[in-house]
Amino acid sequence: MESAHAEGRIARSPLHTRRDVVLLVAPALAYLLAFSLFPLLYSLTISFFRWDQVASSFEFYGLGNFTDLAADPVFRQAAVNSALMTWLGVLIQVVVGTSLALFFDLRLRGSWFVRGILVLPMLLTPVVVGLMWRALLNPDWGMINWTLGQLGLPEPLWLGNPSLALWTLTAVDSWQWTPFVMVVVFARLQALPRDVFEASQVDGASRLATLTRITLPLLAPAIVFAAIFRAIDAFRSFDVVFGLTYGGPGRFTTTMSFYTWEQGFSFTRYGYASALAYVMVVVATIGLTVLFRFVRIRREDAS
Amino acid sequence: MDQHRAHGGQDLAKQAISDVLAGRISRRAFIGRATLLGLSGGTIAAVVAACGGGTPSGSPAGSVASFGPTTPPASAAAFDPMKYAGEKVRISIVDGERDEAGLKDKIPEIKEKMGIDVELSTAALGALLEQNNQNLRAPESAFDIMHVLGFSVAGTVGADLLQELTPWVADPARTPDGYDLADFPAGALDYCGYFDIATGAFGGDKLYLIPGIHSGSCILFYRKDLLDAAGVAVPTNWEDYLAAAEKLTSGDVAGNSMIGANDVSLFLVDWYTRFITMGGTFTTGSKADKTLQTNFTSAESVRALQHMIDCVPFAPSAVASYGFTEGLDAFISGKVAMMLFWSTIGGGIYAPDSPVAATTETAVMPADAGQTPRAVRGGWGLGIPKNLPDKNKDVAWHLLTYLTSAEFEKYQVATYQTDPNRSSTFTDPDLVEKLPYLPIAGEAAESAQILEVANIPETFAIVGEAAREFNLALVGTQDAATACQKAQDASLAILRTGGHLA
Repeated sequence: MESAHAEGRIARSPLHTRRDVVLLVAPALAYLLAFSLFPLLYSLTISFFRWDQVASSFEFYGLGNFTDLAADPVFRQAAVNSALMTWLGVLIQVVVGTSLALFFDLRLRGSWFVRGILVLPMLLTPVVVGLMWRALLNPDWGMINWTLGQLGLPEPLWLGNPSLALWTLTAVDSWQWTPFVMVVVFARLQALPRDVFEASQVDGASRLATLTRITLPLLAPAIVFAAIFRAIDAFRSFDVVFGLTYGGPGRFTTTMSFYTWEQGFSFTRYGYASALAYVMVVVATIGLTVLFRFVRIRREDAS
Repeated sequence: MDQHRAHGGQDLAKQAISDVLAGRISRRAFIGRATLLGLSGGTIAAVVAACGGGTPSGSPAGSVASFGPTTPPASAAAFDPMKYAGEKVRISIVDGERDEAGLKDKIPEIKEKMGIDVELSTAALGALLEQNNQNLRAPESAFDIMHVLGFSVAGTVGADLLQELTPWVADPARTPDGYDLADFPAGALDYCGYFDIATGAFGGDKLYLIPGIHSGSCILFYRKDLLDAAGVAVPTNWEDYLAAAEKLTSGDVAGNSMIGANDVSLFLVDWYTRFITMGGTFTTGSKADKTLQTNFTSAESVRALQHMIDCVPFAPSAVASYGFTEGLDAFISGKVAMMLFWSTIGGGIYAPDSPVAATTETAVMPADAGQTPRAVRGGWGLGIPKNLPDKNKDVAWHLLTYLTSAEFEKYQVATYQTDPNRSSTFTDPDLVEKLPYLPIAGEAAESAQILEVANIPETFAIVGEAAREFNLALVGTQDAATACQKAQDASLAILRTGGHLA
């Protein structure tokens, strides 16, 4: 019976094999074409046009949108804001998230409950998080300033002070997404080989040495994965900006995503918005390439 | 019709005016005839006003459109409320401004009295504008009645995407007897009603929208008890306003407040009011010959912004992050003595549970000597997308006559305290007793000024960029002159990109 099967496979013509391959691959290919390639090419095309839907204008503009971008001070500020928010946010999230994961690995009594609560922010929609924090940080009746006032401390203008607003935004983003890093690192922590730690104990390694020379190096793949994933996500964050600061004061918290949305959907300058979006896609693609390269290395390591 | 207008329209119009003034025809009949002849809303309103207040003959004062469920039409040509029984109308309305609330309540009544099912959809302002744009440009709109913001009229009506309503208003088979178009302030009709697509100008003789569901301009809200205690008179000019703000500022109460956040209302309510009542002219040139320019660097512009900056020390400490909600909250919680604001918030201030309802009064805006107190014209219109099947348009208009009727408006205002559109609602005694700010709001609605760049699609971009620069001036990171220069640079770039400035 088995041999008959094998004969059948051998007897199958290359033509049939090719047809089967095409049939099997076609749905995925069609999906990719429709939902990835087409939008990418379409937005790329639009980025070469001056398209204002409200003004009903659509004219070829060549690289004009991109050169306009290069000369646009708001774009430069948005890029700086996005970069600051991404790197500072990811740094906070990685440090705090990893610390929390290590803390919960101590398996103290009731830690499962606290862990569950800490994960809750991640389940909220970012725009809701923005609005919720906007209320908490309200200078007149927000709970944060009220508490500070009761303690006799200064009551900062968290969202109205230009030198504070971006840090506030980053802090809120970190509040929401630190649990993500914690979960990823904690999961990896559970999968680490225990014999290495037993060997280090036998060798008399201190806790600090175990942490810095064994635990963190072994956790590095998970930490880097979480960091890159979060960096890409933070780089394109829009909803929390929309809900919390609306890009202000002035342009102090305008990120590239928010600026793209504003140009596209508030001012209906689709050509310019597409050019902006394309710059973001290029930056995000570089990030993704790094991520995939890292994942490939780990697979090789595993083998 | 056009031929008719070209050759004999003027004579017929004169005849219609003399007929109504002489009482030979009713005002209702005059409005119908005048609309067909293409007279502007302003002219029609003026003539009707000249005939005396009230409503057209045949309809008692303050009466409403007839929507009785079982009343058969008097003749084949009369309006039949149940004509479209069994049909459905899909309506899109802005969310967050309580505009949808009255309609939600009335859905069962509409079903009962008109036999029409209403499918209501709401979206926040930004999403609504985008949704409108998409639907109006689609092969067929998914909505039969659309809520159009005044500042987006140029981009929607101006792009010839909405159905002209002029002939329908005058058609007694389509419009109920007593539907009084002249009851809307002429300025409101010119803003969210009539539009001249050929020249891209507000007004004209073709009606595309009916003002609704709420309108409004800006007025001065002040705490009479605090002003009395401080011996301060209600300020009527900007120097007095600043002096009053300073005098009224005490430990817990700020003398004044404003929309200081990165918000278009910073520009529209606080800066623009000061600017025009200080004698400023916002634009020069014209878009037709590509010479349209803003005047942000004018002396009045810098002075207006400087006045706002001067008011900041007498405002709540967080005023530079005050948007619509924060400003209203601060006033209602008793922390503010004076505030310029959209009149539509009056409902919240005079709500039964408001702690400042009994002590708040209103006034028209302060203005420099020789200037008429006025503010920017706000408001919405309801229209019917052009890209609908004829049947849908018919049903939509049928329902629209109810949604923009005096009857519905009084319910909406009384129940949800939004700003009215109709003059008769602003002065309705029952409503005024409940909402004492209405007459002042009505006065502001009459004198309100259309933002000069509201007739170009780039309005939001210009206002938004200026608001950001002004916000930074209030925060203290740049001075008034720098902020105005930056706003000017940004707006000129926008006007050039839009093809309005060579």
